[in-house]
Amino acid sequence: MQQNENILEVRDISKSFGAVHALRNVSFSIRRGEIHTLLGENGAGKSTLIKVLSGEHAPDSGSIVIDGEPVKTFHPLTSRAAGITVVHQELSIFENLTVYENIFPYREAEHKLIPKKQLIEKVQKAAARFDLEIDPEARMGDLRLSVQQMVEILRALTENAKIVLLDEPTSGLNTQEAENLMCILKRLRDGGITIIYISHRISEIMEISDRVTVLRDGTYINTFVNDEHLTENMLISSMVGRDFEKSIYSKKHSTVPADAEVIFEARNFSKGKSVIDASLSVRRGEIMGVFGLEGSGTYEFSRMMFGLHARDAGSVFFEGREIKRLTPTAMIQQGAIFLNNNRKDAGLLFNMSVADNMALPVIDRLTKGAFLSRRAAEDYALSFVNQFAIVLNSIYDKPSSLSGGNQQKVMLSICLGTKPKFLIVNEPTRGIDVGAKLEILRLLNEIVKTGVSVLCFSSDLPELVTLSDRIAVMNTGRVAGVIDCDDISENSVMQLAAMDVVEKGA
Amino acid sequence: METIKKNQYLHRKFQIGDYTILFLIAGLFLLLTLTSSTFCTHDNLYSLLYGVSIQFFAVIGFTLLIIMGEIDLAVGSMYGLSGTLVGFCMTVWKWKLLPSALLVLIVCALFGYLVGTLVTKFKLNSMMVTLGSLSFVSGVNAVVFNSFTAVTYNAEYRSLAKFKIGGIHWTILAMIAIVVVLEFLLQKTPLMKKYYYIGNGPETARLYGIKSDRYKRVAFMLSALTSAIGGIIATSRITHSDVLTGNGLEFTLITALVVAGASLAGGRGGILKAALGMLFIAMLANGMTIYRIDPFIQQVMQGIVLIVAVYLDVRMNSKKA
Repeated sequence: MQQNENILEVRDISKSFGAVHALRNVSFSIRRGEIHTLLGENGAGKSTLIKVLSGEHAPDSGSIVIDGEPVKTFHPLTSRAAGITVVHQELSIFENLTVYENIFPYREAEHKLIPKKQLIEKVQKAAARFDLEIDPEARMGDLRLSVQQMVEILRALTENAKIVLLDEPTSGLNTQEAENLMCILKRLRDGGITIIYISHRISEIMEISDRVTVLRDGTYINTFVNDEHLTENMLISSMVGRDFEKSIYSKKHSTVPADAEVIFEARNFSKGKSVIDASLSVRRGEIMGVFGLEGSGTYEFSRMMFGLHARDAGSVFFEGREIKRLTPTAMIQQGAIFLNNNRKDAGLLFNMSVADNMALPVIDRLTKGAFLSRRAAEDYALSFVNQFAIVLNSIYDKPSSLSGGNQQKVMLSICLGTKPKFLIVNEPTRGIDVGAKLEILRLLNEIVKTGVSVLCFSSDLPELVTLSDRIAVMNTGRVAGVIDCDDISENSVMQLAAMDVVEKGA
Repeated sequence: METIKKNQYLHRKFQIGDYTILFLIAGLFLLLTLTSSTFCTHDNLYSLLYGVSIQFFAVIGFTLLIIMGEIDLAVGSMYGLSGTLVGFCMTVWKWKLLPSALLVLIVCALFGYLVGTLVTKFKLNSMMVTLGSLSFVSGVNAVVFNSFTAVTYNAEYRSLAKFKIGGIHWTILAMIAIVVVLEFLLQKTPLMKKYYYIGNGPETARLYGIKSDRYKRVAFMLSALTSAIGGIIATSRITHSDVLTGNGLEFTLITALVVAGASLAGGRGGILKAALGMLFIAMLANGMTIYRIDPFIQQVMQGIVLIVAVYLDVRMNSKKA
């Protein structure tokens, strides 16, 4: 029957969060017993789609059909019952319990405890079916990540999952482990399990997928069959080819001379597997972009170079001099400042007034004699309200009463108030509307004209392409390359970001 | 862009919540005055104020910690220990009051600094660390107390709490002076403004270069120091040591601060409010004593007040977030 060929059908799914359309009329189908990859940039809608499939979010419109049965209620339990299991990037495991206890967290059947022996046998049987080697009595926390992942897959299988959805399963694995996982997934497929696979690593996708569906900006783009005609380039351009936004974004023409003085250098930063020997330098008056897909280490790298994050190795040089003790305070003394990526975590105080927020890093200066001057603080805050056209009722309001874009401008004011020579910005336009976004980008472009240098970490590729004089691309913890202005394009950046770095480096 | 009219952006919202403690005190005062003939007398009110003025010392450093979102549960045991130690120096070593007090204050301050270092350096939860130091300090207090026999301390020690200026106990005057000066400093100096920044967002403060650990260590030191000062005066007042001196004081201080609008999450509160909160708690205890309510029932009541206050604190905070 034709109906039975597709185990899962996504029909016309839309989902919005406020003004953001995370998914727009997405339709595609997944065949029984295939490995189907979902591919897309950060923010393309993959995570939302996963959440709809796993029942965490109900779509605004459209339907999901599993095995010919439309899903009526969206709830994690109903999705599970219908046979979909998600193995998240952050594994959901009990570290202090054993493998078999993790696989069978509920040990009872009809109000009776199932004997331990029986559970262990069940685990062994399931493992044997797919040739997995697992000690059912090992403590979960003692196992390697790759083995823990296997246990989660095994749990899915014992729950009779028909569809296993893996969200970036290889992001924490080394090459050997990743290859191992590929083999296991192929075995599962051959055993009749359908696998939905999410990854950024193109080479991996090419190896394992039967078909690849590409999402971009919340819309369905295409489904490719992985045959001899499919190339990595086809996937990449399908993933980044943004047409309708070209009207907003235009490519930058760099005016920074190639021999401009280097004012900031981060040398040889390392931390475990997240950042590996990463270095970069920034010249006076330039905007240096840093791009990396999720899990590439950009976030950790940005925090480490400001002394916010522990590191195994790495040092920072300011105008040629090394900073001996790398702390935020030391960086600020050198004239650097850090715009945090998530103002809800840190960067903005939601329980204090806008005026208090703006005064924070310069509070020692807003005085008359030895004491704080209210007048000075007000004038100071008003100057930023004026300069950045911040929309508010009163500077004594709390930031929570402001729109996202205006909150972002307040945070930028806090940073610029220190008159920095060097600005590290992290996702400067996350969670704000297009108008505010363009304004922030304009502000950043104006700042560099005054000789300030900006290091901009962003996962928004078109934004970076417009903004940057150069772009450093990170891939699995390493700086995979630096692209000069003339060569910057979404394609060139994505090539470096998504390619298998080990192959390239070898 | 046209220049903005300045005053347009300067209105402040009047927040009734900031004045809750004043209404509470006024209401309780009125209630007790109207229903009891002994409450609103000069002697009763004066002794109430005198009692508050001694305990008040312990709340000084404690308030600074609460503003920064930390806590020192060992204030009460430190309060007890300091009095006993001074008694020990004066009785066993035959020292004078001044050197004894100085030595004890230095020891207590160093201890507080050590606790602060533990909390900041190893990122430990201050509630747990000071729960440990509470036990440690009160244990030391009992050991020292048992090591010498002194029923009543000598006149020199006893005179400390009795000293008057212009007919008023010096501790009352000191309390008023400290409230005025410290409240002004809290409001008007960049240094103390940073305490509020730290309390409202430790990560944000760090991000913008405030060395919060250093401020916290100093505040832990001050907390130990000021509660030690209060304890020495309290022991002087009751003329002998008692292992129960300061017992449950941390509890009173937390209740007083939270009733007066501070938050255990940090970022709010001040020394004036702390003093008013302590006055409120003292009035409540005084009223219950006037009504001959069993001390154990009083304890039950104090527990209820704390839980209600904490509930209101959490509710108000969650509304803002």
